[in-house]
Amino acid sequence: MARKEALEVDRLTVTFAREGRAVVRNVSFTIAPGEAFGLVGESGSGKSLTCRAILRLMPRGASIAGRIMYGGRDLLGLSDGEMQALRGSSIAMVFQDPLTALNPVLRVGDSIAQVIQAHGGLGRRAARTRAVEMMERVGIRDAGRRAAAYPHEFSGGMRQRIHIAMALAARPTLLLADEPTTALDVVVQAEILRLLDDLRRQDGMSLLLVSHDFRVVAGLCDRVGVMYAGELVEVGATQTVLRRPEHPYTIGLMNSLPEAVLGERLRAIPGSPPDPGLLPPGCAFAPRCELARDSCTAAPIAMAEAVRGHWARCIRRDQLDEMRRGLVMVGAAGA
Amino acid sequence: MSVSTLAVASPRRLQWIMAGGWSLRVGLVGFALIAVLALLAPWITPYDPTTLGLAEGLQPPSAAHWFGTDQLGRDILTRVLHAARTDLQIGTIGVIIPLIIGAALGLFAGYYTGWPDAILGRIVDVVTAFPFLVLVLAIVAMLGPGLTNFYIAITLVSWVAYARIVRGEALSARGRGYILAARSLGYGDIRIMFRHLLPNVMVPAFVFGMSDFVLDILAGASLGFFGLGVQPPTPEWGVMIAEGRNFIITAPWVVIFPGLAIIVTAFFVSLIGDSASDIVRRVHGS
Repeated sequence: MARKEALEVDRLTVTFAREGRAVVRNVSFTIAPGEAFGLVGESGSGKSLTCRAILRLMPRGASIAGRIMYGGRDLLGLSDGEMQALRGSSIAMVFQDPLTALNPVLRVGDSIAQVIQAHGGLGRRAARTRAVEMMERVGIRDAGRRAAAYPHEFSGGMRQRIHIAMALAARPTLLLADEPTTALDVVVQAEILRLLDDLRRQDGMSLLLVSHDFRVVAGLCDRVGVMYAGELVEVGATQTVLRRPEHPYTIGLMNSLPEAVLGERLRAIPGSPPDPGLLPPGCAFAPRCELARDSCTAAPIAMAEAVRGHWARCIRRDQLDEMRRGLVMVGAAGA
Repeated sequence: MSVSTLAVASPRRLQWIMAGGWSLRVGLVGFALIAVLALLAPWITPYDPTTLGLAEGLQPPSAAHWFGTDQLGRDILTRVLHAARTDLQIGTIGVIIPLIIGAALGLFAGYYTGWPDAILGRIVDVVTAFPFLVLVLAIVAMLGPGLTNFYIAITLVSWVAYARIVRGEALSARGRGYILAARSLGYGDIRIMFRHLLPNVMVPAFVFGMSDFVLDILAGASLGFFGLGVQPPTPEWGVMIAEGRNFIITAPWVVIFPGLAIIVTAFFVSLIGDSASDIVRRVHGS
């Protein structure tokens, strides 16, 4: 059984030096050992950058501040070499697009074996055997023969399975999955999500799942955080958040799902996300919020605990009942 | 689409040949034939390439001397075949060493970008500012004649072309998902550069190497002609033409056959290079 370690992200801030704007602002959350945590938000909300910041794989010109505690160490304080040793072996990542995440000139079996050799200290033969086992584990039939194939010989879903096999080959204790099913069609999505869930439970791994889709997170994650304009606006147990969202943006996000409002027109959130350089001092969502008052944008708003373990960054939570009406419980994708 | 077809193209060479059509096949067969003849030259030629006065000088082609004899009574067919060994060696070494050096530096610059890239860019600019042959001639003139100095000159001049090609490819490939994925798996820069990036960026450099091969043979012949390359009596096509130039009216076979050898070799190698670059364009362009 893999050793269990918690992840604690504390006031994580990612700034692009040239533009001088923070695209992730004071994000704090924890993931308990063996827990699945979801980050939801629309494009540009900073959820992917939060994910990449944990591995310190940042785009050029981005700087990270805050603390990311993992296994008793602050990842932001590690040397490049120490961080590199951690990548793949303790913390691994699955990316959105399986078409580009696999090296086109490497046989898939070799790609997986390389991870095992790099981290496991196994010989070539043993690594190869393990690679085939990994391919079987992620549900690839006839793995022994398919290991010699190149990525282009697989379908999108199969490629994502191979990509997952690579990520898990060195038995990491924390898996970061950045929109792992967004590039796949709906049926394959459900299969990949189930696979991720099974593997996580078998290995007792922690999972950080990033998605723009509430349904994906709802099916897999124990707890969920909602991000807007680089900030966490709501965090809580998935079931609690879905049943009784405590932030207008969360409600808007749930309403904009196609099946959330049966028989009605889709209710899109009016307006568009703010420019990270032009944020109001208070609530970033206020310009699009029907409940907004002057006090919303006057000063920074702290997270407040609505129910035990369920926090939201909104000062007008007592007015939310009207907005919650008509909200259909979001079902889990593929469940 | 482009990623998947590229994968078909590079690791499976047989599929390349099929995709290249007749021109690639003719080029490969023709070049292979020349290479085999060159390799077997000492065993299949009836005469010695350097001994003087074996036969009467300047004989026209005949049954005994298919390509005739030169002014010193040496068999021209024998010398053309022996010269192929030298000239193919010039082409091969003249491509491989600059290819390795240029690709390594280009890979380094394209992967790291920043100041290594800026420095490399300046050096490449300076070297490419001079015409190829002028620079080679100048360097050989400085170092002195001979094959080794010729290789040094070729390397100093032509690595920049490979560096530029590989750097450009690496620059565009480094942003692809599999490089980020490789970093997320804890691979070091060296492993990522050589095992993940390099195989994806080498094909255009190989294709350029084909035309460079011809260019090197021509450069070798030119230097031989000027007396700065291979030294007589070692047979080399350019040297043979240079030595025979005085008899071009009275005994044209002395220069025609080594000249034809250059043209035929260049033709086959160009066929390979052209069809290879067609495939790359098809693959990259889709």
